[in-house]
Amino acid sequence: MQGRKDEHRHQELLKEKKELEKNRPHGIDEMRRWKHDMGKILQELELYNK
Amino acid sequence: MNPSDVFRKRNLSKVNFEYEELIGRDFSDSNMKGVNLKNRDIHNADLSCTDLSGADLSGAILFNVKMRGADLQQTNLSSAKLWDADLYGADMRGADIRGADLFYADLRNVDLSNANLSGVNLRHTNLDGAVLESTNFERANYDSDTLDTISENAKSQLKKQGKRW
Repeated sequence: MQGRKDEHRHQELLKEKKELEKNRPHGIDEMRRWKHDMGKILQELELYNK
Repeated sequence: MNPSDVFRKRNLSKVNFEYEELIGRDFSDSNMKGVNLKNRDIHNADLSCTDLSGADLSGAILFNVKMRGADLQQTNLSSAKLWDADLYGADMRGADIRGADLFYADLRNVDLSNANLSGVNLRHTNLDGAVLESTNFERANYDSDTLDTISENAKSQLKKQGKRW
């Protein structure tokens, strides 16, 4: 059950990452937010790569 | 001519940019050798195939810039914000990139021989095909995505010198 839940979260994160990649902002404040949000996703994704 | 194009294909090496708005401007194919753009905000600009060798871009805000094929030999990019920058095929031999933020930057096929990347953020940086001869990675931050893009040799160098995030 735990494994299935983890895989579900993993897929969710990959989807969110793809969304952010498709929607890159151009303003400085939005870009800072983008970087912050992407950083958080990558941080969580990193747990699946260890 | 589009007003943003006035800097294209020009010799700008002696220009004083102090009072120029530089965000989103097109400097592609220009000669900007040795210019001083320290701490300037140049995000979204096009610097593709531009000669920026020996220029001072330390502390500059360079996210989303296009620097494809740019000449960045001996360029000072220390502490520059290069998030999501496109540096595909750029010549960065001997560049000073200490403390720069290369988060999500595209450095495919870049020549980083003898470049100083100490303390840089290399999280999710794509270094596929990059030349990493005598590159200094001391205290560089990296993640599994970074490692996936580099050769075995460079991988062990980065692991030895850098810090896994």
